[in-house]
Amino acid sequence: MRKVCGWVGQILRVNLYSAKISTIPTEDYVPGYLGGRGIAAKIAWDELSPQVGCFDAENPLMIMTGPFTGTVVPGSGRCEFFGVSPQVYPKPWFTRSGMGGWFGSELKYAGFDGIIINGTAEKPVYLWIDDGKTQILSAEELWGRDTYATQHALMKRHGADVKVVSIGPAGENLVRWSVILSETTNAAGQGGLGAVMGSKKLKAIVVKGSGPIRIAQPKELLDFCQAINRDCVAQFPVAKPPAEAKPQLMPAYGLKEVACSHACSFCPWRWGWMWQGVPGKAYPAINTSLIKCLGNAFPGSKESAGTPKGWYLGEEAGLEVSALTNKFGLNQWDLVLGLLPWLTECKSRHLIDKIDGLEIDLNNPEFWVSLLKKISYREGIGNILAEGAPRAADIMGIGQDIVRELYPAYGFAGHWDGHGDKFNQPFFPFWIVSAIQWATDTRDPFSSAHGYMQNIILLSKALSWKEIISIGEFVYGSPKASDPHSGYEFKAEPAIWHQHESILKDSLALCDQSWPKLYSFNSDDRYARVTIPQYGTIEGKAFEAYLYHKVTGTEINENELRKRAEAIFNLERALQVRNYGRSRKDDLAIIPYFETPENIIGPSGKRESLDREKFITLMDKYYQMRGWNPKNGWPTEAKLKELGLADVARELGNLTKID
Amino acid sequence: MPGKNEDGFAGANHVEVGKIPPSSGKLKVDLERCHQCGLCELFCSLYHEGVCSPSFSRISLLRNPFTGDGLLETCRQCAYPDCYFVCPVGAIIIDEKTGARVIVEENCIACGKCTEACPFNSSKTIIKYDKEKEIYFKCHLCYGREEGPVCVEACPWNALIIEKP
Repeated sequence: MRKVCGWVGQILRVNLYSAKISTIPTEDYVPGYLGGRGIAAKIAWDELSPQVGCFDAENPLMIMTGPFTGTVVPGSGRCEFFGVSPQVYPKPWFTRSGMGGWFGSELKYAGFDGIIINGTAEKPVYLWIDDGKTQILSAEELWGRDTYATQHALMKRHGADVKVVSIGPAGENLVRWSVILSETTNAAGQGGLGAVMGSKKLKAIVVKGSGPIRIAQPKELLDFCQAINRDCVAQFPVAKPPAEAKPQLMPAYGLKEVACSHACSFCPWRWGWMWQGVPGKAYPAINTSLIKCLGNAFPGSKESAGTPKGWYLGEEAGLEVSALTNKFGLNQWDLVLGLLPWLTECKSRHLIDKIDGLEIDLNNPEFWVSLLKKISYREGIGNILAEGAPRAADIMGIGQDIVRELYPAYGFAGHWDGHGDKFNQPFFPFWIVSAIQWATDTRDPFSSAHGYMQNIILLSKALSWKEIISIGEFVYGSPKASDPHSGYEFKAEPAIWHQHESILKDSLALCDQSWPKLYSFNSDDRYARVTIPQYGTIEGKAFEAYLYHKVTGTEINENELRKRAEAIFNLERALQVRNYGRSRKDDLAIIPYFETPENIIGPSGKRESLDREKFITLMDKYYQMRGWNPKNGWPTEAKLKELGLADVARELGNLTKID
Repeated sequence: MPGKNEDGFAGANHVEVGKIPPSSGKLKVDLERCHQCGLCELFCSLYHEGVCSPSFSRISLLRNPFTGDGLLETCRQCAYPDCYFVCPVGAIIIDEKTGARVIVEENCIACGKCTEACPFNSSKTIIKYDKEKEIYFKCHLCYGREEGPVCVEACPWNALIIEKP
């Protein structure tokens, strides 16, 4: 078989019912569909019928890597998961979930660019992929074990250097917000795809690989990646230890900063910390786990302990609870930004005060442990909460209005939107861009869309607004795109730019926290660029295209690469229109959420909320820029043809779902 | 003292101890700085083999994700290099410039004696076998590379250093 550079050549297909194992050439999908999310969108368009529900055997669970996965490209150690998502509310639909760690790279070293899993096994099984050979093996003695114990057992059986993804009791018991987990805390978190694995009776996938990924232009790639690292490692002033990590605790618990994923070269936020040998508070156990990103939230803070939604667990119990969510296989984001705020708000409105007799008290580690256990095993009220807050509110008939304050859309809790998400601190006008992203996605868009909001808000503490505005002008085409004193003008442009960037990150496989590389502390104007004597100067927004060329050998410029991302975005939209009747009406359903007052006051000096009329005008602009019909939000025939999707246009035409 | 000769197979390199030029340094990892990202392995295999793969790297990251422990294994450029003495065809040479112990690819007959002789190679993380080229390979401090070892240069955390004897 001819090896394609950046790829290892084939995608594994497994049917768990018939036990049939086969492969398809990756070249059937690339370079046209780029990789990861692009390949999955194409397969879903070709194979996924509208009737397929999240727990149906026909629901394809797909794991896809990108051409960068497993290479030296900084921040490339990722893979993406896809399927009809149980978490999506009110009705499950096809969406995605990304994961860092080491599994994606190992899968490629083992000879596969991706895995498509169909069917349902009769008894619990796991997949064992050993350098190109795949077996379906019995997981009956693993079923019921938590994710850490499962991995330990599989590492004992197949070797300490295997990489594993597995589900815990939550996935087995079809908790709608259960994760697929690898190592201590890398997870395909959002979307509840752990329950899809559970419904297929697939406990784990174990991979071991020793093969190479061929690189088209090794020397150029090496020089360029080194140049990027040299530029971006230049100490970002915002790098910091976790808020709760007191210096005196660090030696006691072996606290150590580690990469949260393979090929991590640096991210300005540096949130991967290994905690070793920390005694539990609810149970007398010793816990060791990597804590990154949201994991840092579990200790809570003393200041917030007295407030209705705040808590204080402290470092030890915080780590214990965080590790427990991972062992059970629960989605930390949905727990901390969805279910718990919903429960505590319900409590403060006297709608519910106890969970099966235990007082709702977030300062009590035993409450957390009891709650997580009940949900994971569907015991008592846990059986209802396992459905997630939006469905639980419907079933119990309480707090549906609270759900609407916490969940912008599709059954996903707030994220970088300035309203429901109280952890992050975006302010007007920047969350207008988030609102567009939320309106037109299929899930919480911030799997791969931190590049606008997080960069601007956090870097505004280190850079001047003048610098941020000029970088915005350079990237998005207008100074208004990143001006804190602007309003609704020029907000569709950055939304679209980052939706395409999001496609690139999920398709090539790049870390969302460290890409795109738009800012630098090494240049006078703070715009990222690298200069390599023999090749010239490459600008930050063109890094992806340059890397794509050096890795795969396919020459492509920045605009062409982003055009392909646009085609993938349109294909996903076409799937939404064809399979789920998606329309403008569904998009605009996010408006009431954003009409509530924003969390913090920005430079405008007053607490803003979304102006419905201005936003609708902005959405009209968005549809127009996308080449979609503003009346119904459907892609137009002309646009799809322009993007090389004439067959998609034809099929939508046959269903009269195109203008 | 001649080279190791346990199975009666005389090594080709018979040099008196003390007459072997010492290596000018060896790769050392600062575990406080190492983030266990694995980029050293990928840069190494990319530079030497044009591919990305830990199996084709001359430095090996061993990490335990459940304890947080990690270490890097690579050739120690021993003062008394067993691999050098055991090689039956003299395919291992001492680089005049750096003193690094270098397996010359063209001369390697893939007998595997070096990989067995190395006292630190029980997990096959130091002297590895390339199935395609049918040769053994190990770290030689980037023999012939003007700037020195590529991993030292590429480590984003500055965790790799050349330790002088």
